[in-house]
Amino acid sequence: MSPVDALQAALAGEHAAVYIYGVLGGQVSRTSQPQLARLIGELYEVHVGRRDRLTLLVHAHRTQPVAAAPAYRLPNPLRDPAQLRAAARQVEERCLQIYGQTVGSTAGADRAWAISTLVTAATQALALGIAPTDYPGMSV
Amino acid sequence: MMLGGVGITLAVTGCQFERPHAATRSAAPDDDDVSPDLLTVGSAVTVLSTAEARLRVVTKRTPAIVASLRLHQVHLDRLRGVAPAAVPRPRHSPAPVVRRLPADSPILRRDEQQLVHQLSGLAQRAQSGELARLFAAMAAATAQRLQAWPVTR
Repeated sequence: MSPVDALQAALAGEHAAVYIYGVLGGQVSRTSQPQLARLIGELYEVHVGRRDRLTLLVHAHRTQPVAAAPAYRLPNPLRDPAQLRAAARQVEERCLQIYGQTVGSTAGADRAWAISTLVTAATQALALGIAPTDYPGMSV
Repeated sequence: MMLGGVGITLAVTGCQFERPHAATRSAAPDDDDVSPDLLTVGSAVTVLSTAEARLRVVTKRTPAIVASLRLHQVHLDRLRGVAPAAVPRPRHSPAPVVRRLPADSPILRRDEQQLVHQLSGLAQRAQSGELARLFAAMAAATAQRLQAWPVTR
């Protein structure tokens, strides 16, 4: 995968993450689940920031950034807090894989950013109850 | 050579690198003979060995410290098991000398944070994309374990 293709794939992943966190934010109760609501809100902002950064990185390669889809398939039903959390976990696990791929396919400043993002994302994912692994971002 | 089943190819310049026989295992190749990625693997083994030695002598170990220690051992096994002779031995630095510290020492935490940065730096330096991904994953895993460490004094 070329560096710009890897960045585009990461951007596509972040478009999906922003959409799904937007849906999760609309489903979570701020009164009965304030901690989860706060966490989802924080992660939404994190993914918006990464999406915007990736848009700039793709532009820097003189390439048109991939656009967001009108809608994305939700990972699972969102009927209760456990399902909301499970959906968020799936988003984060998918993003870890994407950033691992981005590290391996880029160089220079793009890679530096991908490494930093992978490390940060791996620690942020713990807040959702994702168990630590020996190789986050590597599906082995 | 495939590194740990993740498809990493590390080449020794000028010849095809083969896993050595036991009799020749102690002979590490000269720096001039090995690819930059093999040197990077050697650097990773050095920093991980130091971190592992540091945690092995921690007093009043907590489960979180034990988890980090186990992680370093897993990472070392992966690097050493695949390319034992390709891992250059530090010529002037024998076994790492470490201080015996308590689990809640801020020095211990700082050193572990430093390891995350070192592994990230090695990921940046790696020429092979798969090796870069491996080091970045090691940095991320180290950072994850560090999250569970006891609060420092």
